[in-house]
Amino acid sequence: MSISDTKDEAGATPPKPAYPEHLARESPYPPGVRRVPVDRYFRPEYHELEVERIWKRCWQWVCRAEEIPEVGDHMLYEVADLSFIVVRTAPDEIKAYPNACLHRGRRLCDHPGKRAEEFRCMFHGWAWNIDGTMKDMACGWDFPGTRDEVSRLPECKVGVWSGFVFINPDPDAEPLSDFLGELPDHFEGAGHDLGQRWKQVHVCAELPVNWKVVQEAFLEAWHTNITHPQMVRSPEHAYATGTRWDAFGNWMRLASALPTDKHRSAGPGWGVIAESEQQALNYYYDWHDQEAAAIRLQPGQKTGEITSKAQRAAVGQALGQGADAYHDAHMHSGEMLMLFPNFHPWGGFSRIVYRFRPRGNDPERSLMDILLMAPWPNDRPRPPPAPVHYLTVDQPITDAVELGYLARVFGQDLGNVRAVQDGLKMLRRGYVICSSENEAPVRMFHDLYDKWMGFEDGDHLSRASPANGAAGR
Amino acid sequence: MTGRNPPPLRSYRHGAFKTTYAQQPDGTVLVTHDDGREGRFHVDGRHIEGDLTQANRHMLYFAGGPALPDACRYRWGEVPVDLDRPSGWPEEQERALPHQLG
Repeated sequence: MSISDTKDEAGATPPKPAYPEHLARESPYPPGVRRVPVDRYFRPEYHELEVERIWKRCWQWVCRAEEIPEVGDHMLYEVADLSFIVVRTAPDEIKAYPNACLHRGRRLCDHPGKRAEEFRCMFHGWAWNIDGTMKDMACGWDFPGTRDEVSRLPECKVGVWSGFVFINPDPDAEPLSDFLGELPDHFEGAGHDLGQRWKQVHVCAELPVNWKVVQEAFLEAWHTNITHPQMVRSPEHAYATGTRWDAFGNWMRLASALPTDKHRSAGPGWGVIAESEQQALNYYYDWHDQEAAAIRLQPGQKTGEITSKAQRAAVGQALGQGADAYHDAHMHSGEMLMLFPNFHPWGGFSRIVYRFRPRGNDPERSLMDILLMAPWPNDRPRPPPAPVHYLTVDQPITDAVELGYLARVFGQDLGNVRAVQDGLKMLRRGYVICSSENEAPVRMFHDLYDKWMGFEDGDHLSRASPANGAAGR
Repeated sequence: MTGRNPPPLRSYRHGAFKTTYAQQPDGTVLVTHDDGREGRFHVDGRHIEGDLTQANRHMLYFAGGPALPDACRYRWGEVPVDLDRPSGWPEEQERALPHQLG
């Protein structure tokens, strides 16, 4: 990270971390209200088109590189009814294949595994080496003239960014680096490498809602007012005017409190203001009113002082050294990022990464992945990445106690999404409305969605009246 | 963080709506308005009794819903890390997270 110059080379004045340059980059999304047809949240026709035009064509995060550290280690990535094998074929090479035997189409691989030497179909025994070349065409004599067409497993495109392995099933897709655009710059500019983080927590919750419904519950912060009323804002920050969004091609970023920010909210701010600094501190740590606060603020002391120090201490402890090199902006981690269609790597030291995807071919069933990526020293081997903790559709998110306070927050969010899924079908006018500013990321998502789905000239699958602006803005 | 056992019943103040949400021993939540009205609710928002008949469903959940083990009551940006343990989790958290370690 860049450190601002110090005037005193003798060290009397310690260098202060510079404000991260990446956070100063602004690219506000054009204003305007957006009407989104509700059909896309539950009608099978949309799901089928999404499979063809998004899930078979878009770059998608599938796993972490350290989850398949040795040659032959492999994961399965599943989205909708698609399944892909992601395998390390060499110390510096990862490949991905559609998970199907080229003989009769059985899934070629049933489970993730370690150090595989081949993928052998458990139906009739055809086998391919992990590099995709044919190994054993059992009874090949009985398939005259077909060897060439089964000699190699079809490949997906693969790319890796900061330890996150992406695949794109489309062999003609643009390189991952082009799709990401300047996203990596924003993390390099943050001065810490997501590639060096430890995957400390990985929860995957199955939900009875469309993947876009649940994703959109995590695409804006405005809902905090009503959905998370315990997340009170310190009176010190009562002046804040909310959040701002910037768009950078296929991804977008929420940031708050930018000192360079000229793009102020058009309206009054929002957020529940705490009745005291002590209440703000207590609720920040989920200390309720009937238990003694672990920290008593002194007169005049502000919540932010305590939380900044605590966050800095936690980062410093995790890194095995101090965190003095980092600006407060990294500590408060007010950056939420979203890469189309479904990947949310938050900035700073928040640790949060989300992914949302359809589960099977039911448009009202989805999977939400939640990762916490802990800082870890560069010079120490990382612990094994956390295995996935799956939650069935009937399990409460609070069963994932490793999420800490976040589990209880998610319990509030997920209390909404089922009600949204139900309510969408009751909207006679056939669309929902997204606001100009606070819901800009939802608008942007649907603009990108329309582009990938081929709806630039209108959502031709929608039953909403054009007069109502089915896909109107 | 606190280490009480058993945990005290939870209570939160909703400043914007001038109400207090207090978990009750029977699993319901008592909501008290500054003007003196009270209402008792199920965690899912259903009203049981009292003059106060409406409340914030999410605050009811937060006060009366599931609790976490004390060892897991951390802020997400401050999840403990132990550089000297193979699992990376401090011992206290490790005990609370058996599934984490396979």
